[in-house]
Amino acid sequence: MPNPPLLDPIFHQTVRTRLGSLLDAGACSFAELKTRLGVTDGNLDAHLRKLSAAGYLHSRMVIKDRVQTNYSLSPSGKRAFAAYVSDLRAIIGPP
Amino acid sequence: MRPRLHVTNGDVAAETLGQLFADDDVLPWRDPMVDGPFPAGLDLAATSQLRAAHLAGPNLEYDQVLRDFRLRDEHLASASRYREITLWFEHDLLDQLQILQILDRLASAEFADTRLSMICINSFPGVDPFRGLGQLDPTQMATLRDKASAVTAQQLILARAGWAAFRSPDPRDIETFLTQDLQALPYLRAALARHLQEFPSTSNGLGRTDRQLMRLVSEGVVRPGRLFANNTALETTLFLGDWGIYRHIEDLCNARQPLLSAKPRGAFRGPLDPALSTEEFRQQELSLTESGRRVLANEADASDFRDIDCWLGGVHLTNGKPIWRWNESAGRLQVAQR
Repeated sequence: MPNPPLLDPIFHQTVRTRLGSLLDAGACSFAELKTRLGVTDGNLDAHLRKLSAAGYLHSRMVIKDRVQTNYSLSPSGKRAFAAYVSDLRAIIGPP
Repeated sequence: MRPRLHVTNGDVAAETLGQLFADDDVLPWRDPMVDGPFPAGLDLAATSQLRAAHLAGPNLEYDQVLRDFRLRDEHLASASRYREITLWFEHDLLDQLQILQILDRLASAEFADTRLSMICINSFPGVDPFRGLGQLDPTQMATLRDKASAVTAQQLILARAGWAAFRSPDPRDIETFLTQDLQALPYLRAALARHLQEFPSTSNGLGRTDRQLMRLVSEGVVRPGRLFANNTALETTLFLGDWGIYRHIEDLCNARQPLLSAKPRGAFRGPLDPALSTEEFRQQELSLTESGRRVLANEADASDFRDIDCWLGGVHLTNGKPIWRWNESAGRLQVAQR
């Protein structure tokens, strides 16, 4: 049996796994992320900073009625998240 | 393979780079650095906190600004994870300041095997007037790729010195810095020279942008959008966007004794003011007040009518302290008592 793959520690954390899946699907504002993840401002801040420090986060400023920043995974973040999901599948095995 | 990172001046250019280099990460260096405090002695984290407090307002929450600065700073701190970092900038004051701040930060980072390169242009064939990278589409931007040159040790040394001079509480440090050979950063001299012209003039206490705006109003340019466009034409290199210009207009209207007045409300309202429709914003009409007319005619000093509390880089200009003034005819700074 081959050794199981090492999982990316950035995504291998319950909130950040969910955060990664949301950001992989498309851009979200801070408020949307907070509501969908059910976490506090400080908690979400900390997790976003982990992603950014790894280069996994991309942001874009948009102007609606107010100025708002939307977040998504950067290209390297998307690749890392896809690799994380694939590694997880390899550990769990086929359904 | 390790990824590549592109750093540029704002969201428009970042969007174009994202389309052009779909596999690479892009970091927009959002900060209107020509406006507000950059005191010496603060690290990037503390500077970002101060910047967020300055930039926050009715349409921009402090928490959001600070968060985005922190995320940006964290991203740059991880620069060594990239195999290549390319800086994409242009010649104007805003971009030159961004280059100084980024290179100052990268100069102290440890890179084992990250290639650092820069593209900095002041023109583009067929784009006239060239104002910035945001004007270029992905095809045009792609032609610049070959112009990237490795960032040299000389550029890093100059950037650190220039950044220290910009943040110094004594703006004569900028004048001293400008006596050096700056060929390694070819657009920096003109940019910093323009920065010095924002200090209150010895003639009437107005910085160059305020003076230009008031002169345009006196010549009959009275709508905010037109003022922005006409002021742009007066600049060799554009460095203030429309919001920056509207902030200047707002300050001139909100002085203790206003130098400009806006119809129909007296006070000028910015484009994101919730009480104002887009059309109402556009239809505001500026005029010189009597105080404004006297200042523009050099018959009075702007400090007679408005309190000063502003930052130009590392210099805090405030009432009651000796204040640095720009002597246009001598082309240098001098200190005045008001």
